[in-house]
This record gives sequence, C-alpha cells and structure tokens, in this order.
Amino acid sequence: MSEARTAPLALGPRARLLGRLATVLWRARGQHRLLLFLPLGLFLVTFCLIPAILLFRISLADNPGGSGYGEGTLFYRAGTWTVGNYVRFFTDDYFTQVAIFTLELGVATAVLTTALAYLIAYRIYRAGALKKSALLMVVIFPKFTNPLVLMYGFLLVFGANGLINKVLLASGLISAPVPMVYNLFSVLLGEMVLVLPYCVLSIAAVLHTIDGSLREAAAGLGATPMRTFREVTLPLSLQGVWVSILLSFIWGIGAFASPYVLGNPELYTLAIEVERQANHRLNWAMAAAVAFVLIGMILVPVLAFIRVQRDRPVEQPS
Amino acid sequence: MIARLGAAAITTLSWLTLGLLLIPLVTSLLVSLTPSEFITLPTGRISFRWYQQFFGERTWNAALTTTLLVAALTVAISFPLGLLAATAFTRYHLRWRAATHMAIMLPLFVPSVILGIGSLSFHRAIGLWGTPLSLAVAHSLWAVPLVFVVLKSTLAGVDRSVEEAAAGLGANPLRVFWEVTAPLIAPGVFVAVLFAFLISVNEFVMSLFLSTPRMRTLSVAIWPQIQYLLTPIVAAASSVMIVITLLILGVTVKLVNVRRLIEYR
Repeated sequence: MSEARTAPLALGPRARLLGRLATVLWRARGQHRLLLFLPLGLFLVTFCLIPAILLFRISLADNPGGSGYGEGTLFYRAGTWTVGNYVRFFTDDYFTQVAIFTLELGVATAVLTTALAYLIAYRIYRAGALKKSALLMVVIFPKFTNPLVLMYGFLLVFGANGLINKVLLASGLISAPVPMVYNLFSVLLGEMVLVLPYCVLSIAAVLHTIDGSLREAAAGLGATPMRTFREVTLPLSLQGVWVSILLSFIWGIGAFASPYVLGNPELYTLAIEVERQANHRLNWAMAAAVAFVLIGMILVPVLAFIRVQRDRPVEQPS
Repeated sequence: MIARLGAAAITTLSWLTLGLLLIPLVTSLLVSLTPSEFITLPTGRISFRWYQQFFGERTWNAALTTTLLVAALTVAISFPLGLLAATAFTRYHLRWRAATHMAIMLPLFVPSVILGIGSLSFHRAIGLWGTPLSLAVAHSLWAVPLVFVVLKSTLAGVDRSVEEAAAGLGANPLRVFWEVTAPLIAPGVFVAVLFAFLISVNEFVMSLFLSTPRMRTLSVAIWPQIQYLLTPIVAAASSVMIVITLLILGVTVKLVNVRRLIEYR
C-alpha cells in the first residue's frame, strides 16, 4: 500500500518538472492570451528553434573524415569545436561557385516569376466573377500539388521522348529530339511554376485593394489605358510586387526539386548540396554549415524588407 | 498597331504561363491511363493496368498508407495549435503583434532542406526518428502557419456582437463558442483542416530526410524512379496524388468562395 502512495514521488526530476510547469500554468490562468499561444509557442521552440540551434552546433563540429559508410552513426564528431567547415566553404572554389549559381538562380527566378505573376494577377483583377474564380483555381491547384509530381509532368511534356518532341517529330518539323530539359532553361521554368502561385496571390491581393474609381477618374481626365496603368495602378500595386519579389527570391534560392530533376550537376544549388553532404557523403557537419550559409543568403534581403516595412502601421483588432 | 501587338503578346504570354501550370499535371493523368509498357499518351483505348499494379504492390500500398496516416497526424497536431493561436490573435490586443505573426509564419520561409536536416538531427537525438509522428511534426512546421492564416481570417470575419449577445443572454464562454462561434467558422475550419492535410500529402523534401526504408511516403517512393522514366507506374502514383489534391480542392471550392483568398485579408 505504501508503495502505491510513494510511486508518484519516485518518478523523479521529470515529474517535478511537470509539476512546476503545471504551477506556472495555473498562475498564468488569468492571462488567456498567453495560455492560448503557449501550445504553439512550445511546439515552435521544441521542433523549430531547438533543431536550428542543434544544427548550428553541428556546423561547428569536426567532420567525421573517411567515407562514413559502415560506421553507423558517425555523421560528425560530437564535442569538437571548429570553424573549419565554414572556412572550407568560402575557400573551396566548388562551394563558392555553387553559392554564386544559387544566388543567380534566386535573382532570375524572382525577376521572371514576378513579371509573369503580375500579368496573371492583373488578368484576375480585371476578370468577371466567374472567370476570376476559374483563373484562381488554375493558379492555386499546382500550389497544392506535389512539386515532384509537377517536375515529373515537366519531363513527360518537355523530355526527349516527351509530348512536344513527339509531336514535332511526327509532323516532320525536326529530325531529332530538341533538348529542352536538363538545362538552365528547364530549371528556371520549373522553379517558376513552383513559385508562381504565391506570387500571383500576393500581387492580386494588393491589386484588389485599389479603389476602382481612381482608374475611372484617370480615364475621365483623358489618360489612355496605358498611362492609367503606369501612373495609377502600377504605383499602387508596388507593395504586392515587392512581396512577390521577396517570396520568389527566397524560394528560388532554396530551390531543390527543380534543379535536381530538371537540371544537371552543373546546375545544382546549395539546397541540393545540403542533401548530398548529408545523405550521400554522410558529412552532417558540412551539410549544416552549407545550410547556415543558405540561411544567411536568405536573411539579408528579408531583414532589408522588414526595415522598409517597419514604418507601416500594424493592424490591431478593435 | 504596336500597342495592339504588345497587348496580344502579353495575352499570349499569360495564357502560356497558365498552360505551363496545368499541362504537366494533365499529361501525368493521361500517361497513367496508357495501356503501353512505355511512357506514351494513350491512343485509342485507355487502361487501368498501371493503377492495378500500383494498388497491387505492397511497397506502393505501404507508401500510400504512410502518406495518409502522416497527413492525418499532421492535421491532429497543427489544427489545435493554429486554432488557439488564431483565437488569441483576433481577440486580444497584443504588444508584440507583428513579431508574433512573423515568428508563426517563419517556418514557411525556411527552405525545406534546412527544416529537413534540422529535424532529422533533432528527431534522432530524442528518439522520434523513424516514426510517422516524426514526419507529421516536420510537416506541421508548414501546416501550422497555413492553418493559422486561414483561421485568423475566418475568426476576424465573425461578428463579435453575436457572441456578446449570447453571453449577455447567460451562455457560458464554452457554450458561446460551441453554439455561436463554431457554426460561424465551420467552413474556415474545414478549409484549414484540408489545407493541412494537403500540405502533408504533397510535402517531399522534409520527407526525404525523415523517411526510412520501412517508413516512407509516396513522394519518397517516387523519388528514386523519377529520373529514369522507366514505366508509367510513376505516372499512376503521381495521378493518385493529383486526384487526392483535386478532390480536396473541389470540396474546398464548394465550401468557400475562392475569391476570398485575395479579396479580404
């Protein structure tokens, strides 16, 4: 009997920690807003922040050396401290070239995607109700499809044995398949398709906040449609354009599926390098270092964007 | 003349782009119905032989089961977290409003490869790795911001005076939520759940890191085969995912007006 009574106490430090947590929760019960955020806060700290810290720690560890195969769990040397991985990244021509290409791909994706997204967003903005819903569906559908499935479809359409080449060969226009995939062109198009939906939505959302009477006023004052667009609509929608550029740059710089499936080893990005270091070379220390260089490359434009945005007022519920 | 040519060029370009979004998916669906051994469009007649093979083979079946299980777990994790945070966000005056919003949305902007390797090293350290829960937790990093955004805009559209009237008539907060708020936000709740489910079904890079030979999702099962274009079985596997996505989006469109995505934020 006495054993049953002491059992809970015997649970030790973990139970005491839980008890303390319960006390903290009980004291905070008047603070509804904190309680409501608590589960999400705990989740994000545990599964996003702590892994990030752990990853940074791994990036500062010595790499395992050797092939790593057959040694099981030796993906980095625990307990060692070195900046060697970062030094290697910035002194090795291979890594710097991959980094420069990744940056270029991010910029090219941002420019191409935002330009095309604007065209489609404007079309959605000016469309009637039914057409608007239909166009939105076409844009949203790929966003929810598997990126891998999209890239596979690309191969089926543009590949050497793909739809287009078969049609062209059958029609006699060409005598040998035109290479349309495994090059920069296909990587860029693939990445564009993966990123486009978000950009269209962010530009279309801003376009829809523009007061239509402004356009009518400009037309009434004698402005041509082109001039109305240039001097009224475009300046008022710039906010959406910046969001689109930022989003497409972030996702373009993190490109993985498109260059892997539609590219060749010369078109590999930092994200692919992370995966190759981790899963093929079993060098987690280097993979972690590459990951943090990638985070740094994303952080610079994001911080610049936040600085610009800081002056805008924040909406609060009334 | 030049203006008209320019307009025509812009129209063509935007239709080409829209075509680029849809044609690969339509092609996958068509190729999956080919009776041929090779990757060709079906000519003349269609066949379900690749679907028979897909649903007949144990490896594909296991991958499909894992995919659906992980997606259900992702919903179970991300929905309550997102609902509570969205409630706090729409009901209370918060001092760190912009910063909180950014913190919740942040994982959506971290490349999946980084979330993947970070999760892998952490999940291995705490012994979570290799379980469906490990994949669901990682997918929730992307599902939570989406659930949060959808529920936030839904809750913001609820007229507070209705709730206050119910409370004034003597209903306790739980009853107010259950009998007044819940029916009002039901469509948004459904959309949030479906989006979380879809995010998980179609996530690929994090799954690539966290899967094991014995526990892998459909995307990871497709991955080694995709570059070789051997048989239309991958087209069939892709089409299964496309059909799941289409069905869920179809239900979503029935429930809510898609235009709300851009018109009220």
